[in-house]
Amino acid sequence: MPLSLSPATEMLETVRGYLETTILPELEGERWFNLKVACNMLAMVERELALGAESSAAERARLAQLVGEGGTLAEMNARLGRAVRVGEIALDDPRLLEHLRRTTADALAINNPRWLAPQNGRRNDRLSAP
Amino acid sequence: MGAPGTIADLKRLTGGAAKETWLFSARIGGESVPLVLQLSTPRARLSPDDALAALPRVVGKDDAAMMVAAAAAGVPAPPIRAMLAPDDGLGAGYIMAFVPGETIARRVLREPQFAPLRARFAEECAAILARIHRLDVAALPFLQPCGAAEQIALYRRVYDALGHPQPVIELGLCWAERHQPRGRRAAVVHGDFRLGNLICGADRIAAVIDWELAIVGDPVQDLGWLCVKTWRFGGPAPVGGIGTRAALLAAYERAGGMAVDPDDLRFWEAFGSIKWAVMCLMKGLEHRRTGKRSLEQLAIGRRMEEPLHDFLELLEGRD
Repeated sequence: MPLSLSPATEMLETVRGYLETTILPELEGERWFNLKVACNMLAMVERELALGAESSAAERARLAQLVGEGGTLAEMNARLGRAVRVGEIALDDPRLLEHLRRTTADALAINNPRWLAPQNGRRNDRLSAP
Repeated sequence: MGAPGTIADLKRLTGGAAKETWLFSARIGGESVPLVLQLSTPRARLSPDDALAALPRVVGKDDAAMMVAAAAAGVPAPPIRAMLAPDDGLGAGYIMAFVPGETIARRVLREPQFAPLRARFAEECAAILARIHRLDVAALPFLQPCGAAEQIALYRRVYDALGHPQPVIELGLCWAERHQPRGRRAAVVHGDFRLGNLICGADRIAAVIDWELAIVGDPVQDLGWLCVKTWRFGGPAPVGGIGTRAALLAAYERAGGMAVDPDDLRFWEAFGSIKWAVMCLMKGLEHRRTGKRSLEQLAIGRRMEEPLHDFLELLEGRD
């Protein structure tokens, strides 16, 4: 990738800012809701660009300790899942729980940082129907 | 429904894969009656061996019969006005009375007008649930028995079929297998009793809606589901963001419900989080099945870690 302007994170932030401040107030109902969801998703992508690589590297390092090196992150997670299922790793193994707690927290730092706050805020009721 | 009339102000209320809800006014003899049309879409597009098809759903005339039975037992449920017939050309469904009130959780949790309901929310829920759980199972033969063990197996099948390894879900399912409540219980369970599915008035719950996940199983499931953090909608307290677990259990017993072991409540709350995580995963991957991506589905896919975090917190004794 050539070092061209503008950085992806800045473009996303600017696009999202435009949508939120200029377009969103013009809309209502379903279109307002969908654009609001879209802006939330752009914010997630921004946070993923900022934090994702480091989180994944840390996850991979912890997974290697638990189930050995090799394969993609998805394959390593599949190995860990199997190890938990067949009982190779105990459900209350502190290393397992610490790994899962950190991996989940790192994902939330990207997907919905407010969930980690003591009294979490919810984005929108309408995202919740099963 | 009486004399013929005309339909006005037809407006779609919600859209879901499983059903469509429309609000309209019937003008009959100079009077305008607000009504709700509930259509259940057949579970098309699912192949019979698809694990998703195994999730029990109550639709069409069964859904209506469920609400009629609940209303007869004193549970606030929308009165059913008419059943659709095949020659109506709308598929399965029914027409019910429009019940005014608020379903948006944030408003019930925060707006001053709902303060009287909030003051007795746990008690109100407990009394309604105790009535639901005393319904005669034999009179509702379409409800599928689906206790803890069946649900764990079902969600495992769905999770496995999705092919997206997630160790916390794996941990959650294994944990649920070991910690499920002992003994079989066979009560009518609403299955999705929480803010969003409750039409709320200022000081009472005016109607319980969305009965399509009703089953025969452990009544504690409904109490635990109500405490799942997702259904607190940002509120600080466990019961729907408003009440305490102790108040819920005490009121449930006073209303004729059984004495609930707090460990059973915690099981259903923790397993409820795992179920919601599997549903998020299912939603997030739905485009593989339908070939269509939607903003809402992709966004829900990214909510999976919320209940997984809540499950881990419960596992480590925090709530």
